[in-house]
Amino acid sequence: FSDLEPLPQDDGPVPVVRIAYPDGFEEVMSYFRRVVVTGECSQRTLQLSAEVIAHNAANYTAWQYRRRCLEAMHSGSSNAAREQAWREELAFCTARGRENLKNYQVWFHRRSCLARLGSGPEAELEFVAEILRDDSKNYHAWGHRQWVLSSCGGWEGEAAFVEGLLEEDARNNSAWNQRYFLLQHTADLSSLSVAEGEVDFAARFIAAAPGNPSPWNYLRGVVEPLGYSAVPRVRLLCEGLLAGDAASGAGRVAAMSLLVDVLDEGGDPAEQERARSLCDSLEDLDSLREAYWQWRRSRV
Amino acid sequence: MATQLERDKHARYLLHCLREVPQPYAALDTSRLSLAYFCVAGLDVLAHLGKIDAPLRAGIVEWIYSLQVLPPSDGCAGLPADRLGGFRGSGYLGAAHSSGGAPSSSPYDGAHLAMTYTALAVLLTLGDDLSRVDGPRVLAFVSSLQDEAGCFSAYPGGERDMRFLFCAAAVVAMLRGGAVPPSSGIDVERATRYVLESRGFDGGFGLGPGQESHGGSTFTGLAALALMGTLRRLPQPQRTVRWCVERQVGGFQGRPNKDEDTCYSFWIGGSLALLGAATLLQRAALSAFCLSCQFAHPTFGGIAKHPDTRPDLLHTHYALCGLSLAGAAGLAPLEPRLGITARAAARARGCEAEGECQTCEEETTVWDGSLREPG
Repeated sequence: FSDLEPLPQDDGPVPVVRIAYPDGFEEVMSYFRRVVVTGECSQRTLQLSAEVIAHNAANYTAWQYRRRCLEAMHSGSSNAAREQAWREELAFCTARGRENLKNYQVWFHRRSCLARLGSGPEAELEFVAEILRDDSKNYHAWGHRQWVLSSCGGWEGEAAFVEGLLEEDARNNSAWNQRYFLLQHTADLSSLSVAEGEVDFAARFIAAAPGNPSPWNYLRGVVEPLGYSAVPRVRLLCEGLLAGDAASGAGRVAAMSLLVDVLDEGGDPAEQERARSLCDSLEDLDSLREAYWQWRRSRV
Repeated sequence: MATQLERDKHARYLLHCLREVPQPYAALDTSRLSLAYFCVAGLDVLAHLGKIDAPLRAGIVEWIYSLQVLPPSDGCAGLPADRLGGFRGSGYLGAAHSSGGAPSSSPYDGAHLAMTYTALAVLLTLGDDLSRVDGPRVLAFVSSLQDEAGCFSAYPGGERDMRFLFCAAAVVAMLRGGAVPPSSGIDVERATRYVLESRGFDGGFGLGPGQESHGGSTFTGLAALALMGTLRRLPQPQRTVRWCVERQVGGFQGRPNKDEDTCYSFWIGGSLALLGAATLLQRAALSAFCLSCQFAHPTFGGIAKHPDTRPDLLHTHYALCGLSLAGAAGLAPLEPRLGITARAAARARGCEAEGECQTCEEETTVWDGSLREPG
């Protein structure tokens, strides 16, 4: 880069939140600034953007510039050569992605590569699965997985994948969300039999750990739109848990909390009276939410 | 474990960082303005804004204006005219420091929506009247970023999600008297639909439709609706209230089955405030958790994400906001919709002081507080 004059950052007379840059950061950025101004798109500027990313993977312009470089460098290439270039770019993105799993830019760049490659979902779903094996609640990875499914398909293996994750860790709320997402796209959520099946599914996890809020939320989310009276097994589940001694603490609170909504739904005075008395008990049992239960009681 | 809010130490920490931040912040090189926002807005919540001396205050304002994107002098930088306006996050692409704004140095040297939000938030907090902001260009920039689905991207061709939809609404509101007016250039109807479609089966909101409910996206979704005047269209708001109160485990967690984290004190505490349900957060437990995350150092404070970890600017600011919502003594009241103090927000309405502006109070409580379902 000896032919290029480095372009320094100009912070003016009163620098604010000046960053104590690590060694090498400013030098690489000074060349990158110059290159972006000149607009050069070549192998060496592609390499320079990789250096910028090595110093700061959150530099969205460096990723943007890579896309620009690849497009410019391959505007006259054969389809095969262009595809090869984007495949290499995806590999670069994979390598950087593993080091920056919570970085928005890397995931965004990944989508750009995939959109240009237009391949099937299998390899990409496997990549996300691998990331989720280490970080099962990674919000970016789940968002990416939803994008892959929505744009490339691959729904057929999703139910088993999600169920496997839930068997491993029933407290993985992201996996519960994915099960709902899957249902939204592949099943009829207004169907009573679908809802009953999902209640039974959630109930199995509730029985194993009544204090886990995820299956409770899931169950509510599935049944609320249909109305609790349409799915009587919800009430039976709550009553059953409260009658036995399997549920204590958070599990009891969860069952009582749902039962309040079930009892309140139909507007029957006797049932509503019981709902109010449950709220009274919840004020003590769930004392962190004392004010909430008073408010909930006032709404019955 | 500290049981008292170390106001002076936190102020010292924020003031120090306002000058210089350590190496790990290099990851925020392109969004340095957000660091200035955490420092300045945090000092304002601490009611210690006066500790920024006049030369530094003027320097911050000049630096921010120098980040305003102006059309390139030769007119050939390749950016369409409606995409010139707004603020960059720093001079990382080589724009020259220049009073009132710097011409775009290349097609890449453009504004970023989140940085435009933080620029205006800091300017208002410092008492600037925004007179040097090129309002029409900023509004054109913002509206150019809205997509068919109603969401917004961070910059032309960039990533899109609820964070930027909130920033769009906040920018327009700050420029247009504190709320998004009907004809502001952004499509309120589509944006509202996008937020409502991003509501999860559990009552919280995800970063986009289908995504898992999360404290950050729940706040940005609700705040955007509140700023656009469409919060009343949220069906069954009590489901969102329940999702929020269930996230309190002492401090707040961002999602079910995750650890508590100080930044959700604001994201979820603020969500409850927007829903008119601030009284439902358990103040003592929230305060105790935030205070337990204060950095134990003889001189510098700062608040961390969890107890016994290092403090950082984001968590310091949002923990202070959470403490303000929890009614901690000595902290300034907030305007949760904009992420700044009520005092600073009053300036967006053209009032010098909060008290002068009678309508502020009414507008802030979008709901009547009784939490009845609207309509």
